[in-house]
Amino acid sequence: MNRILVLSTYSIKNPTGGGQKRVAAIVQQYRAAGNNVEHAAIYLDTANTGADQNDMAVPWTKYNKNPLAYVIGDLLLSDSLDEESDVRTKFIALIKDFKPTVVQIEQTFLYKTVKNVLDDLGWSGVMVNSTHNIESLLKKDILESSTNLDDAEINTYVSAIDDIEKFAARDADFTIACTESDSKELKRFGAKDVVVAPNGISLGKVNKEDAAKVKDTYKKKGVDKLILYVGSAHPPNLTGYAELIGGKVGFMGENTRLLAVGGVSSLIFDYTQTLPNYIRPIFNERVELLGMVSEQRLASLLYLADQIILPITEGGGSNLKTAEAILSDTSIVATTKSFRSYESYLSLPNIIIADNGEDFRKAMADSLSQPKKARTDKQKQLASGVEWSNTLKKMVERLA
Amino acid sequence: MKRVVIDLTEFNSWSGHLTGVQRVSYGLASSFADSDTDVRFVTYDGGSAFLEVDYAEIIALFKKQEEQQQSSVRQAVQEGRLSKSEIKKAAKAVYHRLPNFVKDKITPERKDRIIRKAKAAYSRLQGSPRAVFAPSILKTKSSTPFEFNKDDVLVSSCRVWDHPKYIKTLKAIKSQTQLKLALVIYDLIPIYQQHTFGPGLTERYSRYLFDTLNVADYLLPISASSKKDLLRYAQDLGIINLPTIEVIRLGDDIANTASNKVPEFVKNPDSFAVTVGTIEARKNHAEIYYAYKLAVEKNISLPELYIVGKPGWLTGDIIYAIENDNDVNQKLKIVHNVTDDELAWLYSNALFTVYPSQYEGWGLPIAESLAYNTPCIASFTSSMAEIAPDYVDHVSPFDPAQMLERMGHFTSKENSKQKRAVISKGYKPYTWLNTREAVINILKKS
Repeated sequence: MNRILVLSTYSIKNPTGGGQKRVAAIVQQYRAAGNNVEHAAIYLDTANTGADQNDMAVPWTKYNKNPLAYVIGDLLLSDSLDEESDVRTKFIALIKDFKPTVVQIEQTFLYKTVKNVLDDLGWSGVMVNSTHNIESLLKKDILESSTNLDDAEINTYVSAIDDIEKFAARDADFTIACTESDSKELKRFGAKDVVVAPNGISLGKVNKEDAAKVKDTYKKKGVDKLILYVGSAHPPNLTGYAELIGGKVGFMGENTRLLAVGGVSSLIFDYTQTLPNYIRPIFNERVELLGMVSEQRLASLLYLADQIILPITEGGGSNLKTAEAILSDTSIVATTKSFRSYESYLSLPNIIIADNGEDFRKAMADSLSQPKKARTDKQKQLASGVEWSNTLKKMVERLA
Repeated sequence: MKRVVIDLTEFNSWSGHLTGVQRVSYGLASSFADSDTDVRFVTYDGGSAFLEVDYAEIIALFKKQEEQQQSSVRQAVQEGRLSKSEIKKAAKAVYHRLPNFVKDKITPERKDRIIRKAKAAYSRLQGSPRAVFAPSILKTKSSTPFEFNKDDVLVSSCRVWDHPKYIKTLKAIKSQTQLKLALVIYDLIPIYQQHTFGPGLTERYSRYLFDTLNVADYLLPISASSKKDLLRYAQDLGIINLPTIEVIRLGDDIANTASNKVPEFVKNPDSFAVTVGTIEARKNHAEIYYAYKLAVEKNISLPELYIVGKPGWLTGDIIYAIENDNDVNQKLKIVHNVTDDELAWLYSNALFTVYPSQYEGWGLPIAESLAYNTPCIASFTSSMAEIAPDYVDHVSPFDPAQMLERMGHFTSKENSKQKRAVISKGYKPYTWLNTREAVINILKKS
């Protein structure tokens, strides 16, 4: 049995984001395999996500309220243990108290600073670099699209991240990648032993009462077809939506509603303000922007939905929403890109792939009008492959 | 052939002259009334049903309105007993004689109300048809809802976008009876030329159009230009399953031949021009005004031009300019309440007609002008370019110099006469019977 310390730059007390969910699942799966696991977050104290006992807040004032903290907060934390501070003291106490045999760094940013402390302590265990993306590439995209920084300034940040990633890849005893393409890149960085553990999912338990309430609400409006789009406020979630559907919602009958759930709702709301006034009344009738909903309500919506759409046209990594859609056994209309790293599930029934607007909307209309095919036992087994217990299996076995 | 049911909702309550839409409703109804087709006439009751109407009722309504047009009220105004300036002067005098404690009570809101009332009164005194002529109410056969049969086709050419329940009612009837719906689409001006309307119509019209595209079996745009706009709208909204969309051409055969009686307001029966249509922003009377201003600047002589049409929206400034600019107000004359006989005379005897509209669904006055063999100067945009490109003199709606050149050309009686001969020889009016046959052929397709 291993004593595993999992470290991330965010708390997993109330996991809502994709990264938080992945880390929470990793902790759970390690524990399910009989390991003794502790998680600790080293996080900026502006993060309003609550904190567990081990979590260590880095004072916000330390960074002089850097206006870019909303995009590079994780990078700002990458040297958080390198100087004498309350956080370093607390971290050392945790190491001495828990005596981990394995230290696993989630999303790489903390790798160097943690390694420095562990070296100072003369710790000799297994170091695991658990990546979620190729962070330097992702950050470059984000800095380019959501800041006014010039190329030189962007390169400064991207190089700093690249340094950490390459150091971690070379130094770690083994590396976890989300996708095959990330695995290739990490090997190029010098990673010796890479395990691919895609993102997975665990569906929330459906509260039948809540589901009935939702169904009744729509029935009263004459709506009996629900299309679900779940997405965060990550800009590519809007890009794909705008490109493939936008204001062209007239293909949906009056008995149909497209429900946007999560942070993407606010992006779509802003986008609708740019639509011509002759489209807006129709759009507002066919599309409902539900915003953030409770886990219970999300489970109800996934249960009731006649169709889930995955209109993803850009961005990297693998998409947790794809796994969610696969596991929910609902009809899916998706882009090729949204099924990246889930290609083996494309043989399941009720999945239509379309990569341009016209085809995508037609697929949505066709899918709603066609009866759903039942999955065979073999297909059910295949679909269960997206559950965390399966996607993280190789990672857990690697430490067994 | 299926039974055809013609919707006459347009005539539920109506006064004054026929509008363009009413002329289409009437043209279609009369052409079907004269045919062997099994036809019924109905009107929407504003709720959830249609009621049957006798076609004879429509004829009776027209007679009543014609009689009212001869009313002496209009004459009283035209004889000058109540001029606009006199009314203004009287109103000011009344205001100044009010005691101060009364003036103090006139809040801005109350002032607005008073102005609205005064305008309505002025409009009545001027002889505005809406106010002068009592509305005629279309009588129905009974108050029992009309029973549609399976596979009936309802043909509607009415302005029903202001009836919020109209489409909903048709959907309900359709689901019970398999009624087929054929709806005439005039234009998408409230969508794609919305600057020519006041705010608010675009959203309402889009709602109607969207529902129409989803419920109709046949849509009958009145021009290729309107069809193009309709398909653009369907594309913009992402509508996939479209009904049958086929262009129909409206009839432009003229009902009455011109009498010999010269209208009283015409000063020189041998040399005048005319433009027919509501005075609203889209009809672009501004271009005529600027062409006449340009003529003054360039010392080009143009004939008197009669502007026949009711004042509409967004034209207060241009009407003011036309009426008060001493350079042109002796040549440009706005005339109200022109009778059908007078209009026929104007069309027949004008040197030329002008139709400078920015955008149209069709442009009936162009076809009417040609039906009277009178040269027509019209815009080359939208449907106007389709009507009779070989016979109409097209100009840009935004180029007064181009318009002036054509006006100058037809001010010559010889040039006008030559063009008349060309039109007379070649232009064949499209009859309402032609329109009816086209509609029947479309309905037969499925």
